[in-house]
Amino acid sequence: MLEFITDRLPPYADLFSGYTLGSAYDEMFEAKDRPRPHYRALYRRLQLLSPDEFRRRKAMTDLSMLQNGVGFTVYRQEEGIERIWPMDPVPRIIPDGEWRQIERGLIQRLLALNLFLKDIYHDQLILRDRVVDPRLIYEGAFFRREFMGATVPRDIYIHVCGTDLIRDVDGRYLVLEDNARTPSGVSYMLHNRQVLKRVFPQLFEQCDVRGTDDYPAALLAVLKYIAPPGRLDPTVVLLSPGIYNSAYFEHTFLAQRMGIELVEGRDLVVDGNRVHMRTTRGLERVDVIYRRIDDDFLDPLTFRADSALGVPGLVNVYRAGQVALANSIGTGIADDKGIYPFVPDIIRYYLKQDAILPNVETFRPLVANHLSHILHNLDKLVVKTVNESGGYGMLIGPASTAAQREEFAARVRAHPRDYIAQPTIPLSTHPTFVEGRLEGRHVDLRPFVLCGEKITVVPGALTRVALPRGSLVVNSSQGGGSKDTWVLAE
Amino acid sequence: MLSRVADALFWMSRYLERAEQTARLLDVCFHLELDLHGVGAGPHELHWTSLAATLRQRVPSAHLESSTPQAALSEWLMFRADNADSILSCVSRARGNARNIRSALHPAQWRELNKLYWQLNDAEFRERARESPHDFLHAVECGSCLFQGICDSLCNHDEGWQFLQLGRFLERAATTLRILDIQYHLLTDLSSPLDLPLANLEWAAVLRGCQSYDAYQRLHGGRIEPEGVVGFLLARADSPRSVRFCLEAAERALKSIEENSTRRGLSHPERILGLMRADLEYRGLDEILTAPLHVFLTLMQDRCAEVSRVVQERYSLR
Amino acid sequence: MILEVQHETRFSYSRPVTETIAEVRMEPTSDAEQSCRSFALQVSPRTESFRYCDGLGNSVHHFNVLESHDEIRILAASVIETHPRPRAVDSCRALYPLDLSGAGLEVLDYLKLRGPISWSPRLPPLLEVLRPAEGSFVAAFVRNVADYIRTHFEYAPDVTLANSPIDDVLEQGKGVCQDFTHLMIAVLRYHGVPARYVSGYLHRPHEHSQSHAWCEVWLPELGWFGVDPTNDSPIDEHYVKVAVGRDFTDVSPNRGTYRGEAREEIFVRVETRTLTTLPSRSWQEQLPPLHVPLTAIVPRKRPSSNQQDEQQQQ
Repeated sequence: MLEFITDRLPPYADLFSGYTLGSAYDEMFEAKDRPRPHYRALYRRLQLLSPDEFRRRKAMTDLSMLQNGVGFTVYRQEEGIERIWPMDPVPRIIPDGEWRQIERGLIQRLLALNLFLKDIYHDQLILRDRVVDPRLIYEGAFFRREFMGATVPRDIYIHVCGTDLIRDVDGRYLVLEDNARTPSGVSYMLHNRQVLKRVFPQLFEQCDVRGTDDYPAALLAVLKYIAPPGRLDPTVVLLSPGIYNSAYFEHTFLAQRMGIELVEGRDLVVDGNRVHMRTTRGLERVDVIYRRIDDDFLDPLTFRADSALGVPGLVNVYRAGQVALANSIGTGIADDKGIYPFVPDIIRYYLKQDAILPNVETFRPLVANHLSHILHNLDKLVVKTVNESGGYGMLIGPASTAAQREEFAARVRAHPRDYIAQPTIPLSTHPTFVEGRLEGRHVDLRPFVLCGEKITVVPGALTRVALPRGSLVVNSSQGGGSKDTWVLAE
Repeated sequence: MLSRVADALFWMSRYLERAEQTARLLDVCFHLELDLHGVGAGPHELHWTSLAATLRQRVPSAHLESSTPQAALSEWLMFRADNADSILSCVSRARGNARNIRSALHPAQWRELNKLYWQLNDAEFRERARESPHDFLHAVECGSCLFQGICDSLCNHDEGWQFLQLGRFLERAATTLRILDIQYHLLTDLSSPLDLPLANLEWAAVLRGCQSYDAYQRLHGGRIEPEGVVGFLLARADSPRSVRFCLEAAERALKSIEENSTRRGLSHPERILGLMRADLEYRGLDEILTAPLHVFLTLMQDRCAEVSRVVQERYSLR
Repeated sequence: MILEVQHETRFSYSRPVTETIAEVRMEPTSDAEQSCRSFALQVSPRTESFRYCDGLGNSVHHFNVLESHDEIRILAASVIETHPRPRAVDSCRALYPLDLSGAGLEVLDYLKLRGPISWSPRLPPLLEVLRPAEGSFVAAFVRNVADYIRTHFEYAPDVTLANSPIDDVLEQGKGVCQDFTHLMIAVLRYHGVPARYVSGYLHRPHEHSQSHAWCEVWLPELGWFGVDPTNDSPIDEHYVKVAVGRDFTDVSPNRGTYRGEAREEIFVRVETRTLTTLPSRSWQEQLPPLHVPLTAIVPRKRPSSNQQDEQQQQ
């Protein structure tokens, strides 16, 4: 079933009429009617468009999304329902200077996280030096002790990382979380650009927007880089859990754009410590697997025995260096929210540098005075479960009821390792087309970082926007939409 | 290509062809019913019985209580979800296969199949079909033809397309063989002169069921002779509805699939197909008809099933 | 003492299966207390096997058989030289509660209840009876736990299953070495003493030999030290250690998957004997041969009607 968001609304003379600024940092305006310098060209273009014209074109983007099946599946319902993920046509712009800082910060962060993972799965020096409490690792749900001591191709654990950034009231970029397992969303980044170019070509005039088209080629180069030694023309495949996965659209999109086979677990078979795919010409060896299946389901021989999605024996072939996996196994310990508060220390430990992109201030119930602070300020904090993603299992203090706060207080006391708390940060706002005109809505930013021969960041990102007024939850499964994100050339 | 993808293509094609055949045979039955009113006395249920026999279907007795046998049968063949070979089930199974390999399909292939599926599942459309089934059956035939047209004219004729061909033509050959097997024996029993008009109508229906009435008439004209029909549907080289044509098309598809293979020599499915084709091409109708036709047709049907089986073994389908 | 161990496992299937893939933990470790002098793994149908060292330090061998077969036989044969153990558990003078500052980080894995060693409402009375007094010897506590389990639970095969949680042995009051070991580990871990599961063999000169399981505790000065909650015996030269883990699931001697619908039956033979000298290189060749012919790939039986060939197999 497909649901559509339709706009039935009163006419306005100007898209910006009635646009108000709140307490949060606004991406476009520094003051009322005063756009920031890098938004001025876009601002003028938007002023030339009537709300009716804008609405008509917006409907075209929705239709395009629908026809191309740019959908995702919403979990936690009786049956998965296909929904389109609405794209808001007003692009988010990042000027060159800001981008450079973001880029440097992300590269530094991924460099450190890869060194951290190599250390955790081998010598554990950072634990011996007590920079990170060893209990946090050993009690982490994503620590794969089965994989201790195994070497991975070129010592890279995280090949694709999606890091979520937000901006505080002063416009400072902060890291909210890393996604180091199987981050998704990059297809929306690429697809949004295509659609916007087709439907609103005039917006691009006078703006020197850097291209993102190179991403599939860059990803493929990373995947080939980690192929087993001696495999000159390696066979790369994308391993998907299948059509019921919420990111299936992205899997087909990336496989097509990279020109590689989209496989499911049942298409692969291990023989003689090599991985093969079943083809009409017999078994064909596979060298690199871009897997979009979680560790738990990857190999019933090593991990969950009841997994029907995985490939029995795959992990042993990987361990023997005869097939490469991206991302590697056990990377979840690096984006564990329980480890997150320590990332600045991790950067300092391995790189002897301060973090370029700061973290959001985080309280840990394991620390006694943090716990009391959390329990006394539940109405002001955001409390997150460390092992859940997608905006599930979260308490947003200012929007919570007393009963919810009591429930969370009890849970935090019982399982301090499983929670963290952060001050509620009013994410920056961005003009967004709602009900016939533009209104400020909260946004975040997810750039995609690739690690192969070197670490690169494609000049673009997924901007997620919380569509309900005042909402701070941008997840696609919770009423979020997305925006095209422009990184301007120098 | 991945075996899973080839398997889905093969069956998608077979199920859609099956839906189309069932729709056409049913449509012909409804028309024959009308025609027979003009002929007077005669065994009216004969064509319904032979339809059920051709499709190897038996309506569960529970369904027979509340309606006439004909209505129960057509309901069973068109809509019943508990009949894996009902038209709706076949279209739904074809679409299910397509959905699993969407990334390997041309967008138009998916769109048409999806559209057909939703059209047939529309409650109002189905209700109308109970009153007057023609529109429903016609929609199935059109949907299938449109889909095949898209495959032929929009998609690359690559390995995947060859599996579509293989599925379609094996299915068509098997059905045509069964139609002949059932009808020949039923209808050659109608030998008294009084039965002649009836027999003529029935043979015309057989040809219509195989989409061959007009082509046959252009060639032969006049009264329809059983031997002529058998000859046409079995061995006519230039009719895409004849068994011989289907086998040759299936053989070409297999050859193309094998082309880039490192395996040497004729494949097992190619050998069986070659044997069948040689029988039709070189033995001649006269010789075939010297023995009971049923024996020959049974052998051919067994071989068709065997081809399907060895194709799946060879390409590790399923 | 020089011991030869033969551990043969036979899996037989009611109907032919394909794509067996298996992992075995059957190669004895080498440490201060024993040296594995030879190890040979034979698999039938013949296939190449591979080896790696898992995250807990155990040797793992794995192999696969792609073609159709109705039986798999595995023979793991080893020659182990076991050494005398001069120290008794009581030589550790550490007091309760235990100071873990001298322990390696890995003890963190051996302090939590997990898997079959999970919390049971039947556990608290046992924990209370065995609660160590502050300032008492930890070694005495460890011995107490083993003695208590041995005297209060009955050894009885076929009462519990390979994957039984400790709740089963607590409820029945009986079980086998695996259950006793899990139970002992639960009590020790609950009271803050790192404990791990050991799988191996016990050579009993005048009785039938067997696979065995016992417990290792981490104690200051001694490091990991073995204790057998099943037999009233120190872990001595008759014990051969194969693998260690958090519980049975980490060390199960074999684990695998196959494709096909068949009933699986498993037969196991373990034999140990003492040797007077280390065997020659050709020792492997004298092992009993394993012969399982590959089931020929027969075309499947012809279905009763063609109709089945005209439906997609799911």
